[in-house]
Amino acid sequence: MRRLRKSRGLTLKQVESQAKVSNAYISQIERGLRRPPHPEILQRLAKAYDVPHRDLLIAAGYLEEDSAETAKRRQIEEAYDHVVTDPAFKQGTRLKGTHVSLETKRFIVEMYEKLTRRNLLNKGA
Amino acid sequence: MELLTDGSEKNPILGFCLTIVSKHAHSWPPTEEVLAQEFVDWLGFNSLMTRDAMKELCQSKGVKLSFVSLPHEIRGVNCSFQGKREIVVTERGTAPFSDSHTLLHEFREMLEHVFTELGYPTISPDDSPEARAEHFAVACRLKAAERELPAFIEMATNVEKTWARYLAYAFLGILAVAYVLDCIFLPQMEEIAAEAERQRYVRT
Repeated sequence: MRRLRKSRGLTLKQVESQAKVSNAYISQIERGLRRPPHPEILQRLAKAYDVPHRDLLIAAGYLEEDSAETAKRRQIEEAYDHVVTDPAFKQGTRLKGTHVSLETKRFIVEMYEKLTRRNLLNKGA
Repeated sequence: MELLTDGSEKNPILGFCLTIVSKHAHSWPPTEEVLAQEFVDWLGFNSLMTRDAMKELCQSKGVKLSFVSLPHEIRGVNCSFQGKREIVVTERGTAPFSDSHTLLHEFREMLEHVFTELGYPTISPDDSPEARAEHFAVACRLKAAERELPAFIEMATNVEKTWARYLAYAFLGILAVAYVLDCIFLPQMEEIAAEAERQRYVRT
């Protein structure tokens, strides 16, 4: 949770004001001193951090990520790692903040596929 | 180097970088202002351009430009592969002139890749490429405005009626100040707009 907050460049106070959750409570969650918050609180935090509610529910142990989704996520991450380490392919982005979401990684992989005419995301298709 | 120069005929960005290296090798790296001046002159960039005009300009330099809906946290992307170059800019610009700012930012990153390949990087590992690209984009927009301003002043000077001429000067002055402020504070304005958008999203 702390990594997520830092990647958004948010302070505890800012999260408190946006999600209406006390900063002391958020700090305790981040330090593992509290049990995972209620799903409703996670929903408010998800909006403040701009991540899908489902992701926080999975991280908190309320939901299990289904295997197809996990596989897809892993495929995108692996393809993205391949793209950023290909010395022949140069890319850059103008980002808001420092966080690169899965959606953005997928977009960059698709740009790579288009330019190089290589197929990374649908190898098995 | 000869081979590269030959290839640059089909690769305008490479040609531009080679020219910069040959002109400024003695005082390498050039400042962002120097690079911006050279780039604006080479590209023919204007401060007031439509998206279609930007696309045409990029096309003439071997770069495909498109405006599409991008994931929430990115404003622009640039990619290069074996001489093919493409820039994508978000179609949801959050501030005036954010299209051209992002385009110039992406160009700067593209240029740096070429400078590095040529063995003349301009950004040290301690520097932030993002910050340098932002600096470059601001410098380019200011250089373009500086180049165009005399023509606008002349237009105002040619207004016959005295009161209308002074009105034109005043209007030009206000526009110039607004443009300069936009150039300098655009990144901050975008952040504020993005934050407001996020706040709206959180509330709903």
